[in-house]
Amino acid sequence: MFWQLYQYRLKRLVNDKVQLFWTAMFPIVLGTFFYLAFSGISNREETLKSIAAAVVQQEQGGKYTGDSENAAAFQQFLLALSGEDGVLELSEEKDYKTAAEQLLDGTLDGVIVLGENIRLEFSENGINQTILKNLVDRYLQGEQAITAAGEKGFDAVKKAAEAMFREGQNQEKSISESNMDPFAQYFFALMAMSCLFGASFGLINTQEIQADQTKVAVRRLVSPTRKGMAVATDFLAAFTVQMCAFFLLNFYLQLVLHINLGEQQGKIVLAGAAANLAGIALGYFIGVAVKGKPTVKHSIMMGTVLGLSFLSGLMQAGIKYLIEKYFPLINRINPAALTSDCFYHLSVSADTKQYMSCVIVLFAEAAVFGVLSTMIMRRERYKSL
Amino acid sequence: MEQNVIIKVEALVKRYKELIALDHFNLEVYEGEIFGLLGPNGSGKSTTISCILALLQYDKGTIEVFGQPIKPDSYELKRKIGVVLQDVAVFDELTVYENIDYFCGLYVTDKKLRRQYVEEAIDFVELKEFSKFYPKKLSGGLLRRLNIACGIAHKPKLIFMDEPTVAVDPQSRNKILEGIKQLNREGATIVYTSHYMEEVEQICTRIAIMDGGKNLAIGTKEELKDMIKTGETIQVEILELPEGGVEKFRALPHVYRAEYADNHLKVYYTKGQRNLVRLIDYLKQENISFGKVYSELPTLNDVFLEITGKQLRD
Repeated sequence: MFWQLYQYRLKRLVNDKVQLFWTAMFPIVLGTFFYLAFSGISNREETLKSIAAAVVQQEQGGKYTGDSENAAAFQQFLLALSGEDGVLELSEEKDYKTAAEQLLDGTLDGVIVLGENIRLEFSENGINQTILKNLVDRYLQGEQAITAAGEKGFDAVKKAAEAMFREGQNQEKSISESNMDPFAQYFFALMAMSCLFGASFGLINTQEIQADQTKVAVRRLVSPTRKGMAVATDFLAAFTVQMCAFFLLNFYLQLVLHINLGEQQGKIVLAGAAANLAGIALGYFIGVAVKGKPTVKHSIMMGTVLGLSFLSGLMQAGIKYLIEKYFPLINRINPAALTSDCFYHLSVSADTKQYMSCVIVLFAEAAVFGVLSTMIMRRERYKSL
Repeated sequence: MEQNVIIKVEALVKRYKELIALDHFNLEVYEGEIFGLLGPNGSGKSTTISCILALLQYDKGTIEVFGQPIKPDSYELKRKIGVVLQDVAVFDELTVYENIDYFCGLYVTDKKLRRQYVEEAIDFVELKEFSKFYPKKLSGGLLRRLNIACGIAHKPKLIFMDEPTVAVDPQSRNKILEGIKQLNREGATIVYTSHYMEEVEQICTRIAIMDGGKNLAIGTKEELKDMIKTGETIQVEILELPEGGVEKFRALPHVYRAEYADNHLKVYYTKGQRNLVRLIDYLKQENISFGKVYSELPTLNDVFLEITGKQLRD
């Protein structure tokens, strides 16, 4: 019986042409638009290698306030990262005022101000700014580690330097093998949106098992088939369709548009599975928790999915970084942001720990939405039909 | 011989906020009958069925089906029940065959038996040539037939049919009504709701007249007609009726009412035999020239009118 119900449910969902367009075709169409739009803006290879930055010294009363020895060391570090194949493209500009103007007009991604402390200034948030901040942070952490080790003796300094070197090598590897394209964020958000569209299938599934929503549900509920069986087959069919749509989009982005999502295909699929489960479960939750007509529920579901996708940077990549700065908790729980982070960690930062934490949170969200929906649906009876 | 009670509803009360949809409603349906629930829209027919099917919560009362209280998880009871809903309830994304197979599969797990049942249901509703069609390609009448097939394919012992002929052309309606009679002949007990009195009169063995959530009268159509005053109505076309003529007609035996308007005399009889012959004899005797004469026996609409004071389709 399970197999029969699953097969027909699958067919019912796949033959829903409108729904299938939004799930399978719309992300591909949008991805193509992104590709065409962004490939016209920049040369992708150049973007990978050039983070435009200026190094200026803070002046106070006509004197530089920075520690000249430390500043020189830091500048050496930056110079090592610039050059023909370097990550940085250092500006010759030394005057703070001019550098600040260039920062505002977008010529520069960031300005590094050398004073008593090293300070970074950005006019906007983006991947280049994040990378620049990471580089500076790493330098400062290394400097602190070596300074602290210096107080313990030469061996400690040696160990600290070796540790930094190993970390530097790892970092170099992840950067060189990954996609540093600032526009990749849009494709990550697009994949997240595609997964969250599973909410639509989740919502349809709830409507076809609630007697006050559709007549088909009435027919199913008066039958001797247990509600749990119907819900399970419906959910599995929705998950199957979503995963197929995910594979299709993944295939299209990687093999047709040549968007680098990382080398670890297994982890990409795991992230997709977690995100699709969370999306479908979100749809179930909206379907059972929101009271009203099907059209009302559908509007709320679409608003939620598009809102979460917007917050994850689908329409404007900077939004996600703004949220990270001011409301980081939103990024920790927004399934769209978590999904896009999964792909970011797989293809850009190579941070497996962060990736796993995002995947676990997505699975947890799917479980929470699923359990809450089941609790509401269980033994549901109606006051009116 | 005592008849086997299939459905027993006692003192059922269902409220929608301030509105009382069912007001201490009682009902007994016997095995093997086609039981009609007749009433205007909003009289509580569909609500009654939804409560019996354990879909709707109700405020008071008891409901037993096949001698057992029915609950949402009464799976064994539900196995014996089929439902044909007022609105067409099928998946637009599945073909005719697939829809019937899907809904039959909710009841019948054996694949071979299910295939047989589905094919029999398709033959029953005469949709064989449309079995690969999607519902959107079917006309209203064919859709209704598909709706019926989805509800009866698993060969239920008890079938609820909630206005299955709404918005159906006369040809399809007749086929549906014939099909219902055939299902009954094959052993199914049928609860049939409608606001079309002709249909109810045509197929139902017993009828309950509902209005305002109450069961106003119950019985066979003959029993119901016997409950009312009107036994026969005779209408005569008369161009000129002498002054005071209407009063004379009122004085005739068994006549309880007579009225003259638009060149037509209408005479209402309580009971009595040969009323028509007697009336024509009287007209001749009084030298009243007349045209066409019609005699009408009471309909369920008359029953409804007399019981509720309003037309069934008001």
